[in-house]
Amino acid sequence: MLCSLCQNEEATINIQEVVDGKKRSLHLCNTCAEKKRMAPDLADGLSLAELLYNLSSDESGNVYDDDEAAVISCPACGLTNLQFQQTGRLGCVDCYKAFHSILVDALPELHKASLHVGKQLRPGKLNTAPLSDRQPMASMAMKRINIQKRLEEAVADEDFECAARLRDQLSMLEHDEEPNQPATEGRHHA
Amino acid sequence: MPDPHDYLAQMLKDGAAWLTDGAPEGEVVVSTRIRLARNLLGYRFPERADDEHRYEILDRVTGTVINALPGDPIEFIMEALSDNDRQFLMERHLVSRELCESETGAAVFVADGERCSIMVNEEDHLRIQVLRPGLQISDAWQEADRIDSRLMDELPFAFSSDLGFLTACPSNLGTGMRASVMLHLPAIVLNGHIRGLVKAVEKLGYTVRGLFGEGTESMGNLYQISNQSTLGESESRILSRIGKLIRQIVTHEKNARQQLIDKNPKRVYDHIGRAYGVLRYAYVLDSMEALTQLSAVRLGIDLGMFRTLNARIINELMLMSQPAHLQRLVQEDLEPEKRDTARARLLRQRLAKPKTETPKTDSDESDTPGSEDGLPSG
Repeated sequence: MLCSLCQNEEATINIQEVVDGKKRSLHLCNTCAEKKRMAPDLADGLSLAELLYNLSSDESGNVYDDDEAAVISCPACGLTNLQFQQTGRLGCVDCYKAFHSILVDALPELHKASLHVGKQLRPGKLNTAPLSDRQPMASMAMKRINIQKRLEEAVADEDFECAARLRDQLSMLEHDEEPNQPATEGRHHA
Repeated sequence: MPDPHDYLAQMLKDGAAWLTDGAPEGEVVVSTRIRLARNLLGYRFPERADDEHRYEILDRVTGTVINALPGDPIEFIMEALSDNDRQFLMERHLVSRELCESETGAAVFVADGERCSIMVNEEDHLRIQVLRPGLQISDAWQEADRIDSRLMDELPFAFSSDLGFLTACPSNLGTGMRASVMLHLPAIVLNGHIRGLVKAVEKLGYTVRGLFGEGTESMGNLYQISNQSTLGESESRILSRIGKLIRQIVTHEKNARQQLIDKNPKRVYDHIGRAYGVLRYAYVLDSMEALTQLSAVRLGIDLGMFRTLNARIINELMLMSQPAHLQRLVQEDLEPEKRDTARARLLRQRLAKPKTETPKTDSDESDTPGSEDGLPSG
């Protein structure tokens, strides 16, 4: 079988851990087992990340027994829950959705509260569109900027038909990106 | 843009220029740092992104970063620097070990005499860092906030209304802000209260790190206190709470110093005098001992024992006696033993400059003769 952590190599080592009174098996390849041994341990082979992002049971009360440790992975970047547990780091913004059930328990351990009350993103800025790696927001922003530039030129040239078409394009673009924002942003240039 | 290597030479000459004298609460607080973690939409977090995307990220942010930082920022690309140069930047607290070890697309932009910098492709895409001497929390925050807002105007940041700024590590969510204050606490260490203090501070939800050591024992009596939680509180609340805590610790340290003098002045002066003596005349000094003695001399300065020596010189020497700085100074890589002699020489020469400085005490003893006594200085 493949190593639970890297999913690359053949698993040759079986590490048994007792967490919450339940026995858990990890099947690892040589390299990952070495790394695990050398990782900063707090207690009996558990790292801080492992303690925080405990996988013995998830929110719905399913307990993963022995050889059945379920592997969740992020659809966007492929990070697995086991990798996350090892390093404490996520792979991309979509991981926050993929590993929500783990995070919801861990956040109160890390922070004062689980809801952000500080500085906000400026209104009208792109922020919440879930995205895949194939569509970098960078190119979306560039598209928008290009259309705006051509729109200004069209207005300056009094080509109102063209301007109307460009406005439509712009509003479709912004509508895709910000479903809750009225498409008024970007019309006014300083 | 000027050659970063020229700029490194300039940095060496400048020493720790931004750590000015007379900073607020400067007798106890060495520096304040505010760091903001930000990520772009459309890319995986740096550790998981492939090389091509990392370079793309760097390209994407460069122009905006340069405009957001004050003055004329300098760019340092990690993979183009020697090991020693990377270590050099780390000793100046401009980059982290993680950035140094990065293979591709990792860079730092430095501006305003090192008081502002932005790391690219460390744990997060962008890490804004603002440094100030002494205790200057709101000043540092204002600048970090301004830079962040400038960046936000041109770059699409990953942000959710629930979780705030999205970061690679959930421990940085929300404000993405880590406020750290570095304190010099020789008296609290000397009177044995440091362990209790560290425990109490940690219980309140702050991390305490020895600057050059692990755990409670810190070389040079320097401790860095940072907020742990970044989510669920506004920036101003986080900052006002840490500010209150720091001011309490400052009072605690000042009282402890006063008590030391009141209880057993001769012992204190002896401790400081010996430290000064070692630095003036030793031929071999490892970094741990150098920091220990420099810390004691710094205490002496704060107690008014020295006429011409000031904290700025000590800060400079603490920096210069570190390995990468020494090696840059003598322009060659050195074995640890050779470094120890180079370090000792640097300290002898630099401290001899305020000539015949004799620490004054208010005891009835006559001052010990401190004039040059013909010892070879080479």
